[in-house]
Amino acid sequence: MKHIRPLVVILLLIALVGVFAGCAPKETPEEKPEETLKVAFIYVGPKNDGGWSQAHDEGRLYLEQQLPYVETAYTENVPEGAPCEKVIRDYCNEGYKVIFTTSFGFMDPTLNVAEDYPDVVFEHCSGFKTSENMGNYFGRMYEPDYLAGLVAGMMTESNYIGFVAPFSIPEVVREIDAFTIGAKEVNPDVEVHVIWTNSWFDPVLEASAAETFLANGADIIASGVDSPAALQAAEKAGKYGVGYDMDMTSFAPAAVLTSRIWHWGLYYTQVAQEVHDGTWTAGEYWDGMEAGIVDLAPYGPMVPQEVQDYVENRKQMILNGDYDPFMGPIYDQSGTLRVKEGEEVSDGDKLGIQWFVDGVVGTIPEGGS
Amino acid sequence: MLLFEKRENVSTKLKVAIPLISVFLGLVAGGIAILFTRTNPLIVYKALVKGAFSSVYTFSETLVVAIPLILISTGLIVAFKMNFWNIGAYGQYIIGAIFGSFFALSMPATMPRPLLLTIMCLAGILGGALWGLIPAALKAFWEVNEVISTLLLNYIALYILKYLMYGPWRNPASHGFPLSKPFELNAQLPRLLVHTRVHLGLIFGIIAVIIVYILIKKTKFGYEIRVIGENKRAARYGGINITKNIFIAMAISGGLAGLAGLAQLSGVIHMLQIEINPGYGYTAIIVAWLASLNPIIAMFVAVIFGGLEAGGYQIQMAIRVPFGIVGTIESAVLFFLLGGEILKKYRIRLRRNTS
Repeated sequence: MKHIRPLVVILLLIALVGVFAGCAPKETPEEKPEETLKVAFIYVGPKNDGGWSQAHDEGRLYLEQQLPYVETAYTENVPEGAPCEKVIRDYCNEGYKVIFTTSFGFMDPTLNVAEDYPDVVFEHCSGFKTSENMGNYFGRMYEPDYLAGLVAGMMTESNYIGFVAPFSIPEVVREIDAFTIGAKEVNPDVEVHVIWTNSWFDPVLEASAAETFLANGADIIASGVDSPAALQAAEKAGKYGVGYDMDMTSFAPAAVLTSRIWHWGLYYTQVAQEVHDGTWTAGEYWDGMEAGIVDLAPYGPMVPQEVQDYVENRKQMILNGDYDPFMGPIYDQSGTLRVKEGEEVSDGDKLGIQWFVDGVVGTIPEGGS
Repeated sequence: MLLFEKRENVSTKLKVAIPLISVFLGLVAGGIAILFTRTNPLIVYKALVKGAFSSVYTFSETLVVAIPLILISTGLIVAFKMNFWNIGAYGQYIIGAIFGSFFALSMPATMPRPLLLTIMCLAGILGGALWGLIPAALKAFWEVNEVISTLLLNYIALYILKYLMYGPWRNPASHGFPLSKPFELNAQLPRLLVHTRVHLGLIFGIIAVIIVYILIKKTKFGYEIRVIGENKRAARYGGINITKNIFIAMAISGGLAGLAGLAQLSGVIHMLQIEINPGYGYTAIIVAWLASLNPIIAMFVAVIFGGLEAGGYQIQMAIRVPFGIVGTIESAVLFFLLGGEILKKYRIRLRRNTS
């Protein structure tokens, strides 16, 4: 009998909580005008991470500004495991009609929920799976990556550039390759060294990866991760950095040469508009600089005019459709010619790329069975 | 000078009043933190309760979190009863998940579902039990402190998982991302209710609670571990085989944690990956303690903790409070509950220093 008492305590607690909830005045469901479109966003990091998630959140705010009938909500810091699926389900259950899930690891959970809620539109960022009511979207970030590589290649003196990278997935390998192609084009002696943090958002690890590079002679740190920590480490050492996701100048003003940036708001507005008009279908969105989804941020004051001119010229060529960073000839790390002169890597191969170009120092961990 | 005097008998009044007051104070302290975000704490708390218990859906999500907590804490109770401080449910959970996944990933999709699931569950229990037996052996034969050994084994388990996910078990179709192949339908635990994620693991949990309850109350083993827990020396004089009991208790404790890990994969996540929520192994320690090591009470405490987590996500959605607030509320409630535990056991007296 001794143990019945604690049980009573807990039942009382539950009852208390129930009464507490019951006493509260019944919430009258707010009558929204019929047109309101409820749009939700799931972020893997804090919405003010200074990088990836913040860029998405700025897209969300842009969307709210553009379309008066849209109402948005977000959940930040969502782990890429079981909790993520719960958060997505919560939104479906609350009547949200469009859900953007903004991290690679959210892909399968999004797909699972999409099966159960056929009336909800799902858009997953940076993955490769789609279904009837789930599209995916990304941008040709490799274009700005290449341009940033040009800047870094011309600015480095030690010819040692450190690239702080998250996971060895194609999205990131493609970034490093395009960046290196740019750097090599203007500086054949340059080496781009890679450290994997195996995390999207881990400022401590990102900073220590940068410090490792700096101790080994790097004079430029490029970031492919979600926070500006690596650039702050570069600034502390009096070296330069290349930002990612959004203009990172404000975090390390003396270090940032430029940043490769996202303008997610354009796509968010497009999707919401299509859903509202009833014209949305699940697709695979992958546009480049010409659509405005990706871009190069303004240069830092330390970047000389002739460097800027060279890069702007290349940028114009890409915008005109006259140039693609993945045009041959391209050699891989072992010196083998992978893409012949006059050929170009196809979109399919770009999306699945799992090899490093000549000039990258680092390895892609082998996959299993 | 402050004196802590052990209470001889704890009155019923105290037993009821202390946890209630503790929870209340915890909510008040959490409320003060909420005020700093310029939000009304009452609105936040209402959203928390609503987000955890107000509908079939929200309650089902609460149960989804409660399932691993029930299984793990029930196992921990067996070890804790004999004063064996198993801090390693985290690692036992991971190894159980790995053992079970091995069969999920290697057996053909045509294998009958009940057969495969049975094998997977047994493998999960076996994996967790084996991982639990390592510190048991270290303790039994070399007197290695189990707090240290179980804790360190957690990291080893995590790195084994990382090795598998970045190496041999990575799905080639995952584009380099550390995910295994998805489990086929025959490797997925059935759901108990349509449109919810509550899975068969809940039944496992309830069965485990009943078995462990009977084991502790009605069997010789239960009697022996209680004696060991209360007085090891007396147990030894009484002819109780302590080594044997350590092994059995840790096999049960680790086995249930392993089953929890397997159930989480097979019932919720449906693939092996690095993020499989082993942190429940730590939360379950608190659940077991708050339940005074009674498995039946632990079941209810686990549901309350499940509600805290499930409702926590809902707060963020319903009211725009920062993510950290949820953790702050949980910690505040916990802090006061644990503080209350001390007051339940000890009487605090103020005495002038006589010397």
